Parts: sequence; C-alpha cells; structure tokens
Amino acid sequence: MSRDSVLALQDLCVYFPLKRGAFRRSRQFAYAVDGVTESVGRGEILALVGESGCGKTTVARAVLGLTKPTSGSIMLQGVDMAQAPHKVRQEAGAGVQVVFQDPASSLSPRMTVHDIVAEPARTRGRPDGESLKSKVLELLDTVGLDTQHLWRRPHEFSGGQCQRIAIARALASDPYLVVLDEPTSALDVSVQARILTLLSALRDARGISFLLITHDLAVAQCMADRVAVMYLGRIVEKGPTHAVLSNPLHPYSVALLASVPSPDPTQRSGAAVLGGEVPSPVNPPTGCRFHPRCPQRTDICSHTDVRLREVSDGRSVACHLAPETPVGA
Amino acid sequence: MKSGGDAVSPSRRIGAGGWGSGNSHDREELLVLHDVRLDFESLRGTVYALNGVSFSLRAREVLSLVGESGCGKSVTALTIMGLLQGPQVRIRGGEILFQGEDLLKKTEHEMVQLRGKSLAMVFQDPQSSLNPVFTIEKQMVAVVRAHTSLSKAAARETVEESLSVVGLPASRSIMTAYPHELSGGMRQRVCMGMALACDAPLLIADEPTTALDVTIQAQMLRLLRRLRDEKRVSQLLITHNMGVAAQASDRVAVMYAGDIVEVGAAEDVLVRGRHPYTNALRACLPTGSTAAHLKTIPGGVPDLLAPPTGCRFHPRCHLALDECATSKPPMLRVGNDHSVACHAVAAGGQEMRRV
Repeated sequence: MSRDSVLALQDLCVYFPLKRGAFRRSRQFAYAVDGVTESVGRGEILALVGESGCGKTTVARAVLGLTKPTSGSIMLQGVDMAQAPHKVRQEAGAGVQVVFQDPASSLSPRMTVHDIVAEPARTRGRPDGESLKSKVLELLDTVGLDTQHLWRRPHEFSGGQCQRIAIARALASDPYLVVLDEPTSALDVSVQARILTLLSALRDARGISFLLITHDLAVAQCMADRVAVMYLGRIVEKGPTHAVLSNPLHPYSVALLASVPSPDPTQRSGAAVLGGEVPSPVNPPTGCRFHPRCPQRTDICSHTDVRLREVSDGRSVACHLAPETPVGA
Repeated sequence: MKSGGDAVSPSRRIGAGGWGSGNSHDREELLVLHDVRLDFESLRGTVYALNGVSFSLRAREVLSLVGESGCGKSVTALTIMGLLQGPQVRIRGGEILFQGEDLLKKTEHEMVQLRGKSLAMVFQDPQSSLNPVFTIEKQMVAVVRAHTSLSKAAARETVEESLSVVGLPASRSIMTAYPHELSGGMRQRVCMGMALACDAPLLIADEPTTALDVTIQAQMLRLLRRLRDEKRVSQLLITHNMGVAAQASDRVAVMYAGDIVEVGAAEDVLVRGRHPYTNALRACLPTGSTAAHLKTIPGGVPDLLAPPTGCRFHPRCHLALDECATSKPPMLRVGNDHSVACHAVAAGGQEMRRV
C-alpha cells in the first residue's frame, strides 16, 4: 500500500444482521461486503463496478461513515477511523464528501442554492456573509452554473444542473476525496457527457481523489485510473482500467463486458449471455462465489475459497483458473 | 466512432437479412402513425408534446424509438395504447392505424377490448406494474380470461406456457408466488409473459431493461429477439440507451422534442446517421478512454411550453441554416429505408460531416 494513499481499506467487512423477531437475536447475516482491501491514491480515480447488490454502495457508505464496518479498517489520510481520537477522526472525515445518484432527492427543496452550497463551509468555519457569498459564487462558477441562480431552489433546475449544485456542495469544504455514487445514472447521455467532463477537469485542477461507484463500464472506462470489479461482496478483479477492461481475466469481468450492448448494430454480440442471477448475500455460494454462474467452473471452484492474487504489475484476480505466471501488461 | 462504417462486409448483410430486414419494406404495415399531434393543457400554458409524429412499424419487426427524457417517446407509446385521457390531453390531429383501423377513433370500450388482446405493453418498472396483493397466477389468469372464453384450467395452462416462453421454466412455483418474492429480472419476465399470454401481435415495451442490471439486460434482449423470431411478435421498443436500440432492433426512429428527426434501418441510423442530432447523441456516448474525448451538445432540451420555431433542434445545431428557424423540415428520403427531417441534409453539402 503506497504511503500517499488518501483512502486505504484493509479487509473491510460489513454484515447486516437479519431481523428475526423482537427478542430473538439474529443468527443470520447478509454478507454485503466481505473482505475488501483497496486503496485510493492522491488525485486518483478508482472505479468500483458491479451489478446491484454486489456491495459497491455499502463500501462507499462505510467510507463515508454512514455504515459501521463489522471488521477491518478504514484509513483516511493515514487516520484509522475506528481507533483515532474523535477530533482527529472529525478532521479527516470532513475532507470526504459525496455526490449521490439522484440529484433531486439529495438537495433540500426548501433551501436556496446559496444555502446548500454555503452549508459545509459554514459548519466548518465561521465565515462572514460576504466572504461566504464570494466563495459560493466561485464554486458555482467552477461547476458551470449561472451565478444569477444563487437564490433559486432545486425544483427550478434540471437534473444535470442539480447534479452540478451537488458537486459544488461537495467541493465547498475543500475535500481530498469525493465519493461519487452513480453520479450520472439518472441523467441523459448528453448531460452525462458534460458532468463527466466537469468531474475529470476538477480532478486535474484540484488533485481531488474520486471513489467512483458505477454499474456503467463505459463511464468507468473514460473516468477511472483503476477499476475494481465486485461480485457478491468481494473484489474479483482489479487493476489499471485499460488493462482490466481490454483484457479481463476473471470470467465475471468477461461476462460483464460482453453484456454491455454495443451502440453499433453491425457489432451484434454472439457471446454467451450469463445465465441465472446474482445469488443472495445471506447464503453466498461456497468456494468461489461466482461458481454457480461461471461458464468455466471446475471441481475446485465449488469447494475451495479463492482470494485475490497478483498476476502482473498492479493487477489482481480472484480466480482458480487465472494464469499462475504473471501475464504481460 | 468506429471506422468501416461504410464498408459493411457482405457477410454482415446476410446476417442482417437473417434478422428479417432484407426486403422488409415489402411487408405489410402493422402500425402506422401519421402526423400525430398532441398537447397538454397545463397551468403554465400549452405543452406541445407531439409535433406531428409519423412512422410505421411492419409486421414481425422491432422498431426502437430513441431519444432523451422529455422528447415524447413514452407519450407516443401511451397515445397508441389510448392511455392518455383527461381534460388536459388534446389530440389535435393525425391518425394511428393499427391493422388498418384508426385507434384514435375508437371508443374507450373498444380500446379495452384491444388492450392486452392485440396491443400489449410492458413498462419500465416491473414492480409497480404488477399487483402486490395477488399471486402471479391470479393476475395472469384474470388477463387471459378477460380476453378469451377459456375455462379456468385452460387459462392456467396458457399462463404456464407463456411463462415458459419468457424463460421461467419452474413456472409452477412462480405462479403461486407474489410479485415481491421475485427478483427484478423475473418480474419483468412475468410482465412480458402476461403481455404475450393472449398472443398480441404488437408488444410496446417502454424502457423494459432500464431498471435491470447489464447481465440481466442481456438476457432480456435475447428474449425479445426470440419473441420476434419464434412468436412473430412485432415490437415497439422505447429506450434512451443507444446500445439497446442497436442490439435489439431492425429499425430505429430518433425523437427530439416531440419530432421524429430520423428513421431507418438500425445500421443506417446508428452508423451512418445523417441528422445532426443523431450524430451528436452518438458522440456523447462514453467510448474512449478519457473524458476529454467526450463531445457535448450545446444548450439544453427546449421547453415544450414554448418550443423553438421551425426545426426544434435548430438552436443547438451546428449546421443550422436560416430556413431552419422558420419552417419545419419535411421528412426526406435519403436511402432505401432511411429518412431524415433536416434542411441542412436536404441542402446537401456538409451533411455527411460527422459531429
């Protein structure tokens, strides 16, 4: 793990107990995140990709402190968020911000744009009205919003504009890490293109790290430096974006990529479609969690658990069948 | 944009022919929309939602209607189904011919007979289109019995069969289940099974895969293709996803702000698109490896309370001519099965310039 990583997850586990009546203690758990080790460097964009229920949003919530990890550690700028003193944790946590999927429901309908964007700055320091206003105007300018809209409320804006307000709010406390939870999934493609351009410019200009949660591989491809593919609470493959997406090694990554419909009708995919559905995280399959759906499974897959192992520089795969010898980059 | 757009290999053409697009224009037209105009009266004024929509869907064909949110795709579908009613809906003209009969002239009673029997529809959110308090069997049998004179047992058999057609083989256990017990993909299959239970010749699917994961989406696209080939179901597929349109359809119609701007064979529209909006939309798709490659369309989708005059896309169009602001461009045939509504294309010259 590099020393300058702003976020480091070590064997992170989040289990949710299932309710079994008022007095009985729960004996069953949903294994939402089960042993995730990952880090994000300064100015780096890491994409967590996977289908719904794979645990990518739970990882994001744990990083934000919205969900308590069952075990494992989360380090933000070298501060262990489970052990460090309160003041230190507060300081480290304030530099982590989030942009959610649905822009309309993540902005308070009763607040003006000014109040929404000013709130993080207000809670951190006690700036006076004028300097606060100039800071808000500067932020709106950064995200490409008309500064005349300062006193409007969220319902007067389109989805793309609301997402810009949410990004301005996230920038207001000068974060070093921003969690983007499906930032463009609710937007049209032409608006998505603009938001992605804005985010990528922000990374270049301010050196902010992003943890990008997305199910859209095309978005991950054009934004991220590295990707981690998740399946049922575990990372099955990770590495540099280009390497993973152009030459996926894990059968699930292969299937995920083949499932994306190409916008070119002359390229009709004849590839085998993955059968079945994602199993329940309450009773995850034994051995490799992907084996019931895996087209290449062998005997070992169903009974022997598999861990991530490095196959080449910066690339790791959790598959019994992945090449033993390091592959060329 | 991939190279080789013009050099379609012969084998591809044969492949496309296998898909049934070979001489499809000889086939009978199942559904024809001609200059359909529809407004909504709102408190803020009149919303000009459909501005003369015309297209046709041939038998055993899949036509995709693509466009961004608010362009009128779903309104078009709901108008065909006759589901837009109420004092605020104004159908100002046009006709919707289904099997030769104008659906706009039908009474509500006649439409009730057609819906589910001849016109079937599947919605985006399968959770909210199934009734949570009835088992799958109960709701599906009710549909079948409403449209046929089958006995309960015979209807149940029909239901079981249509569930196995949509890829739910363990249909016994599914039939006794309630909707909340099924996954999203299974629910969408149930909705399709219900739509097909009465052998409707036309299936309108409004964003059928948008709420599903990509691997499940791939399964659904395969199913839609099978329905067309084996059950000969014509489909009107509404989607904002160009990938889905490219993979699932024979023909594609592109909508913008209540207008059809381009329609034709999927390859013609999505690979060799002529309308500036079609090409701009394609350029917005993240395909490259950096966000710097992404193109955007200047401006925003127009407010349909006061749509632009002439061509509704002209304020955002880099090819706009003077006449674009004054007159609505007519549909112009530019290929065998390919039409575009654009003055700049009609004027020739730089129309082939890629955005």
